[in-house]
Amino acid sequence: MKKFCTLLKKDLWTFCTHKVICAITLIPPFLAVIFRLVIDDPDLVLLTCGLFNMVLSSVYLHPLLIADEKARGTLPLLFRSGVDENLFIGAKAAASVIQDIITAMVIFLISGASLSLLPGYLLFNLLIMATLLPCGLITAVFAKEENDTHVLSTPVMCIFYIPPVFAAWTSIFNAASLFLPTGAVGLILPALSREYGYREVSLMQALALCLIWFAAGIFVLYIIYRKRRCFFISSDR
Amino acid sequence: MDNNHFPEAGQLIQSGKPVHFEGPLSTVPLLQKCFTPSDGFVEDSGALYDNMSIKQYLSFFAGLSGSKQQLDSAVEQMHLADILKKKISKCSDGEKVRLRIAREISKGAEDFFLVNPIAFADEESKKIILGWMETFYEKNGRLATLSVSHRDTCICPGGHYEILEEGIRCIDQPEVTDENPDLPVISKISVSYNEKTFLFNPEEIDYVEANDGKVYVYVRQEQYLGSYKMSELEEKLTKFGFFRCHRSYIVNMQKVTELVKWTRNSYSLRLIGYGKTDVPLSKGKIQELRGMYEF
Repeated sequence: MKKFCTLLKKDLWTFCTHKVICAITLIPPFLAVIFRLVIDDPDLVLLTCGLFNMVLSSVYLHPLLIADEKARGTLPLLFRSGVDENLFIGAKAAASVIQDIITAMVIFLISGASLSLLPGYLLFNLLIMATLLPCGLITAVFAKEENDTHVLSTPVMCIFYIPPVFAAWTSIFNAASLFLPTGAVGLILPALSREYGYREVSLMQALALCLIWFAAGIFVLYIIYRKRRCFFISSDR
Repeated sequence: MDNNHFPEAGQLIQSGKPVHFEGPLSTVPLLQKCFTPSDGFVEDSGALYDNMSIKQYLSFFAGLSGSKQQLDSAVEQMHLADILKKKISKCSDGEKVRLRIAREISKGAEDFFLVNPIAFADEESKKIILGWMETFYEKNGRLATLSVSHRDTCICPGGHYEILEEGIRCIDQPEVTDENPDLPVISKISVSYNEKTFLFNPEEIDYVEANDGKVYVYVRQEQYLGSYKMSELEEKLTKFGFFRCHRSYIVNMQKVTELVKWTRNSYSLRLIGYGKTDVPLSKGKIQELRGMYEF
């Protein structure tokens, strides 16, 4: 537990001090400010910036944290210091979730949405994070350093983010969002359903969709682990 | 690289005396196998969090290994107390090596394997690290280093070995020489460079180095390939004021400006025009030099 807390503390500190990671973390709140000034529609701000934050944290920032360790050459050092892969991955995931929740709350406050939406919004954040973290980990396994993460994560981010945001405008994105966990954003934003024609989503549907994606991610990670006997080559001894 | 002579390396490391290998970096994984994962491994680059301060970095790894008691000792041994708040990105190469060593000490390691431990210009850090290596004569722990530079290998206190394709060769052993017939007295030394042969007067030569089975002659900071063995050159050049200061080095004493003392058992010589380049001086040769020059 002590090692986990030490790693977590260091990773949270990285969010504040690593220039690239810090800048990327601040993009969704910054956009939220812009959107609020331009559109002044709380639900639309939550849809665009809040959803952006969820996808960014799980699919982009989470693998970036891991790739940063690879680029610095600190992975072998950490594994020699008694940190095993599970602890390493767990700490990075926990740090990403904490960062996501904090940023999500900031975006929520900027949006000016009704406080009654906050619990559902945060729970949805956690649900999406949990669903997409395995996806982020797959990216981290294959990325050798930070630039690789930018290249690999961007299309994945687009897949999970763009269809739900534009679902109300095009039928293609509407159909695509039926199969994406982020497409369940209508669960927490019923106002969007009424005003923008988003489909309403039941809790069971959303949970089932997230579970399927989560299971798919875990299955892919299992295949990778079976092939390589580890996730990160430097930990293999 | 034949793995067969790595058990031999393992035996040398187990002997208890500090051992220093000269060899390519590709031998690092093989030498690492002579140590356990809990032993200290000091890499020659990377493995640092640039945005952290020295204190944060050491505390982080001490926290991971659960042995914060060793932290103060590590800081003291590597003389980091004055620069604890310094950011790692602003540290010199020498300070970074000291930090890496301190990290391993703070993790509670007793045996150490270092890669290129003194391959930097910072003298103060070199002195601290060499002084720390010296303490392994009294301690129970094992110490092994691998340097790419022949010079750096020879300066470190302990046994010196060279890793070759055919095996491990001890650099400290005296050279086996053939019985020579009487050589004619020649006052020119032939060397080659770019397929050209040059002849230098002994007074022009700064120093001679033996490395990788070849002999290199340094004249006016330029390196030339020598045509003779070290023993032959020693015999030729002694009467011109040259001194065999090490198994692998002969220096022109007219060009020596400074005798540098790193530790009780580690000395080097500095020559005019070579800045901070150190020519190793064997422990056994120090008394001889003292007798010759009365210091």
